[in-house]
Amino acid sequence: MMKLLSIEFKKVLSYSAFWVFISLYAALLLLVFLAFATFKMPGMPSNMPTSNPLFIFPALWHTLTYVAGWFNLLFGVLIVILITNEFTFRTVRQNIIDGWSVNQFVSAKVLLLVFLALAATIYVFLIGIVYGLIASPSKTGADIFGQMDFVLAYFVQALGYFSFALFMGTLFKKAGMGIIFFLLYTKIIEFLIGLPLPDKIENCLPFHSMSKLISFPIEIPGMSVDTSPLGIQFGFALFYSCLFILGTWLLLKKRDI
Amino acid sequence: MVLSINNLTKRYGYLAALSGVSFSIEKGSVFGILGPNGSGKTTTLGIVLGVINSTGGSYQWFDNQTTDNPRKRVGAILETPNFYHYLSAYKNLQIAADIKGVGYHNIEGMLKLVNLFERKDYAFSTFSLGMKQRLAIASALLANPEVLVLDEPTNGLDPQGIAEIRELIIAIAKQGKTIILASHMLDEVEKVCTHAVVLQKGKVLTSGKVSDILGSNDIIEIAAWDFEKLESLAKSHPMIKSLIKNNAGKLELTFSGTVATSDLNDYFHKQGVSISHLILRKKTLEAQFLELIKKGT
Repeated sequence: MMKLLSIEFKKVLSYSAFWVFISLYAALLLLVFLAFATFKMPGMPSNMPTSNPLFIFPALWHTLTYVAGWFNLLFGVLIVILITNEFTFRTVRQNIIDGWSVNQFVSAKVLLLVFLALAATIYVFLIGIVYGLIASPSKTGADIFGQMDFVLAYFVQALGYFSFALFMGTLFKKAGMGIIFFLLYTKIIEFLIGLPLPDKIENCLPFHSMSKLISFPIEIPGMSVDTSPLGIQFGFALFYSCLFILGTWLLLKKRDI
Repeated sequence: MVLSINNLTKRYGYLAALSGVSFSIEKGSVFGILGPNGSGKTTTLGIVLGVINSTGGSYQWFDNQTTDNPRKRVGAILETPNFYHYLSAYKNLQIAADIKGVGYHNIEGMLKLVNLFERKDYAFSTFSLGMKQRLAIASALLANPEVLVLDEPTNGLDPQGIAEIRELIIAIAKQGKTIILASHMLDEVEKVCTHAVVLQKGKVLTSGKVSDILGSNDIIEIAAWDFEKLESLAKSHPMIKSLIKNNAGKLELTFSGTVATSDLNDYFHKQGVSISHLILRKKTLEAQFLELIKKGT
């Protein structure tokens, strides 16, 4: 297993686009989060970094992971590029000729996805813990760890997006088409599909359910804010991740490579 | 047997790319798969290399005597050199070595063998076609495979590159490795192969030893003043195989077995016909090949 992952690392670590996307993700997420967290309305007291409860423990985890969720798309585009490279360079073919099975090829890619999702989650965790410790007035264990299950939710959500990107890249084989359909589906097509459906069913669609995993963190009149992700949403996200990976595997199995 | 192919079939919709192809390859042979473009060479190799799904039939590497993936004992190039464009030659070979499950100790030697050692840290995308092709051969040889599969290895190369690759193949064959070489270039196959199969439109036209397939079918061209007598005598020659009157008004004879021109001259002379024209012509490979293909249609 480590062998497969180390081969995937060799493929991506010297790839400049890989580092461009990773740096963009890291920089944008940090900047956007800090911008929100330290934004002050004119006339607000300026003696604290922020007094906004959204940006201190424990609600900080909810807010931070919600913001981080926007950048899943960036990572998704990177993953589409990484998988479609294998088709444009025909290296998927060479990998198989050299002795990998389709199972090994897909496993290696899935391991890379899990690793990237894990790395992103750890990065999010680090931002949260550092900023939280600086900004929060209360540093009790209960406050710090109170809503940390949102970090786990972020991991699962990222995994869902990444495996969908893997599937789209495998389906379209060309980076351009893969990226367009990845973005179109997550942002528009699924929204359109959901319109005529009753709420209960709409919420079962892949990206509806994944966005429910980390709900909108600001209270709006008439709706309460979840203080922890819902268990059933974990199930949905993991189910869809498996489905996308299975789809990828089936495509490679059935298709001439 | 290194590879046995049994009744392999591949359909793309209504188009049959392969229909019932069978042949087997013995250990130590240099086996040519010969045929015009689109005859099914790459499809056949793609199937046995696990990247194309066959519609029917079966194949066996090493008589199924291998527990691990048999492709790890095979080094192969299919159609084009496939590498990560942004990675250096050296890193690309590292990935191939990792997948094959062998160490990196062979990489430098292989790069030297194909004359790419000085360029080992350059990205694959900066390579010329010939260099890419040579890197692919280095990659195929990396794990010291028992079998080397080369699909049109000299495609797109200049004459010098073709000669280099050919010498390389002959040198590798001398080490006792089995080589499977697909090509539409007849002289390529003739110069390096011991056995061959000729494919056309997805069917096997003929297979066997190269010397038998493309072998000693010499033509003897003769003429005489008494043409009719010459013709009837030629027809009754005990070893005559075919007889054609060509456009130049001469007779083209082929024989089963070797017939020396001096003996033939004697034969006619004894029967009272003086030969005015006698030429031994080696049948060109191209002519041989075209004839085979004509028979196939």
